[in-house]
Amino acid sequence: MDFIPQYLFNGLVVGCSYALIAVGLTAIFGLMEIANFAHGQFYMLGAFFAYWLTRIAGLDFWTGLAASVIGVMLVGVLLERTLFRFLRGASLSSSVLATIALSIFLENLALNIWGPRPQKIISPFESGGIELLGIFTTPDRLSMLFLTFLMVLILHVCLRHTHTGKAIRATFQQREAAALVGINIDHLYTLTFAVGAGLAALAGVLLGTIFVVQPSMGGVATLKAFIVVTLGGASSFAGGIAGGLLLGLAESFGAIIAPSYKDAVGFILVILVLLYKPNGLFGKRT
Amino acid sequence: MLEIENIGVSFGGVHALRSVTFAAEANHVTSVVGPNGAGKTTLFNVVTGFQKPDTGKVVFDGHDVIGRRPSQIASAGLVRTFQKTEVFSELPVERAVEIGTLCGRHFPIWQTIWPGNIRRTRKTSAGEAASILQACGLSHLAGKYCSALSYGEQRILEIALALAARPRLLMLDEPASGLNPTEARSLGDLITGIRASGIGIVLIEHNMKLVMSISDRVVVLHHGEKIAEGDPNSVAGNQRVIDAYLGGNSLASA
Amino acid sequence: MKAAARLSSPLLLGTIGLLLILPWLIGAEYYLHIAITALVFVILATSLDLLVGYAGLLSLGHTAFFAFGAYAAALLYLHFGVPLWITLFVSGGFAALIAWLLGLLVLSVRGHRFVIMTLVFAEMGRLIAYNWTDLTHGQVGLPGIRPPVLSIPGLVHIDFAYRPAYYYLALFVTVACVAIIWRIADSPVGWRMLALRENERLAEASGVDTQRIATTAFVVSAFFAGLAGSLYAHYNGFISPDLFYFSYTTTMLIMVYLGGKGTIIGPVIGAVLFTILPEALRVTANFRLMTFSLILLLLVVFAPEGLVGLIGKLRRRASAGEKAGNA
Repeated sequence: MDFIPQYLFNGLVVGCSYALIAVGLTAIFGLMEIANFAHGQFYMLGAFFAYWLTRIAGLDFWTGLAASVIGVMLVGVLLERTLFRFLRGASLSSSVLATIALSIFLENLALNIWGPRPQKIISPFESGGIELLGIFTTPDRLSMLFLTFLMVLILHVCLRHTHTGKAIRATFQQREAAALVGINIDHLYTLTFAVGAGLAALAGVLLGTIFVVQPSMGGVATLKAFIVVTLGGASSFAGGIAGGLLLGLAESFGAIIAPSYKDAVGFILVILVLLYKPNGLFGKRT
Repeated sequence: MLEIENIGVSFGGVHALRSVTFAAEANHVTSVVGPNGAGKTTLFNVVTGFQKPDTGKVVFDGHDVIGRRPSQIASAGLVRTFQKTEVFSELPVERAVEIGTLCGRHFPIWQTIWPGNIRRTRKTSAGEAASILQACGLSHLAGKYCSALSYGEQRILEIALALAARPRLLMLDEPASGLNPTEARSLGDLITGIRASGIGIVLIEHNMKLVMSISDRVVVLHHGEKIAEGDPNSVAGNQRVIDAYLGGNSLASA
Repeated sequence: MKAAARLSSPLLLGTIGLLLILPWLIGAEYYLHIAITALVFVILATSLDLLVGYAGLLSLGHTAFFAFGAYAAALLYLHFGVPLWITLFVSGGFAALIAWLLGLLVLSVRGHRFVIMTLVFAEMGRLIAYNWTDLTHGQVGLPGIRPPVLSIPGLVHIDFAYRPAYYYLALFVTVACVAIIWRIADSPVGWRMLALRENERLAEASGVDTQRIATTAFVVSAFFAGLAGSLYAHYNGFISPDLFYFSYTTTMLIMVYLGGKGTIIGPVIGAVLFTILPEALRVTANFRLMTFSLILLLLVVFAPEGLVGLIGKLRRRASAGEKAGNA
């Protein structure tokens, strides 16, 4: 079975995008306790911004990437300051429904602006595959892996060693105590939201060079992100990353058995995890 | 009425409760006291079905309770309140108590289909709710939403809701917590009034003044074990109890 | 509910009268089509309200039960010639059975986990309908599902393919469904659901078997959704995996919230309004969805109690103002 490494690799690539999106959702859900069903739209917007900036506005890829990520982060900040501020402390139904409404709005906005046809973001690398240790890949996929790894590293370092990072971790654990100690919760939330949105946008841009870009990708991404957060347990970033990679791998191998039911693998995993380990595979046991 | 035998609960090597045995009777107020972490709420959880013990038996009115759902136990007449106030937040007070009277009751099917029957049932239950509210001194709050009540009022409302479930034995988890002395005194009157109507009461409390003034029996738990039981005065004078609360320091050096 | 029934009998009678003579009033086939569609959604919205508004269980998979019911009816008709009279109940029963089985899994959790499970369930349904082509013909869908013909030789012959006839059929079925749902809500079962919604732990401690009542709400709401699926399938003549799409659930949710959740009459109003409005505002589908999602957003944030709640508030303020004026 020498295609196993290939499936492993493919699974990891997709898993990386899941991980990036899920980390942001974990932060928002864990920190602000808002079930953000619009999160996947940051992924979609990142991809479309990059498409528009590179294809239409003619920017080169890397500038386009940076601008897209920043653009989505700004959208995130705007949304956080308006809608999500409202939703803090709201009931689950309210935040679920409000964010679903937002999600539909954004998806149809994209549909109206860019149309339903799938697009592609032009890769900065020359086309053509690379063969690495018997695995077929492309420079885009490799850079996805590399950049994800880089982002995770940066995230880890920031969370552990910067003042803000420690503040985030503290607030994650104990919100009231953090507020008492003088941590500015408002700023922290905005920052966390923006970073989460930015990471999702990054995943969107990178994956948009490998696969396609279309308005419906946001909804799918949201569902995947929630599956990952459920798998990994909403209480740790590491869980989100591990969960994302796990889902990517599971889907990849699931495709061997039943290609058209590949999404179902994640669904079945989620059901099993929710039944037997409700706090996620890596979550804390209460 | 309620017999608790040899209850043991442990989590991960720590004994929350160990061999706890005592009984509670109708027309009596039995208070369960003890320093924090003594296992009192765990005991309540076991008795009312919210938690399964590792060992022991609980018999209420001759029926074995362990393994039953909390709702079954409540329907049998053993009703509890919670340490953290639980009310039907988004309902008006009188509606909440009304729902409380209707929830646990069983109605035959034909009674539930015809709107006329339902109207009659609701009229009766509304009347019942009104008298419960009056007995608890909450009639003036009718029309307000449960969540709009003050903390003290909600605490009493909790008891009203428990009464709505037609208990034969009422288990109150720290009903006086957060109440000022005046409120605590009214609470004491309310509890003695409930006792007078024939309902037995088991009480977890830290408010010693209240405990001493209304209890018929006091049970003291410490580190999950019963260290004393008896009438309030003898328990208060019990050296083990004094040591447990004061950590061994003599009163003289305080 | 007492308020709604008391809501001046003339109004009630007037509405009933209007509904009965509707085909003569509006004549055009197209408007009758909207009316029938609205009736199907009335059933969907009120059944969803039982689950979401009464029991407080936010299920995002309601359309899956609708779709399962539609497929059951379609397959029964296409393979065995089973008419609407029977498929109505079989579809409902089938959906209820699936709900019961799903409930064994899904009703052990609450909160966002429950929401995700229901979403996942609907997506699974779509995948199956899409890929099990032998049974469902996949994306192509199943055409040719006919309305029934009522034929008693010598007495009556009604072909319900005649649209006004199907309208009355749908009206009858819808009124029956709403009445049953109303009776369930206004009964000890409904009160227990309210208790579950307001405070599950307290409900359990007050004698409500919360697991059983949650299952009841789930199964009953699914039954009516499945039944609506059959009603739709025999009318529309064609069904496809699209029925599993989340957009249908969103539509139902908007109807429930627009009308007012937790009041049976609210979703009825919401369903009618929200079926008519999109037709009245003839904009493209995309703008439609954009506007409606915005409406849902505003509703959830500013008027969570919906139209019925708002009307109630206005009436209370009006009567309070009157009292103040008289004092």
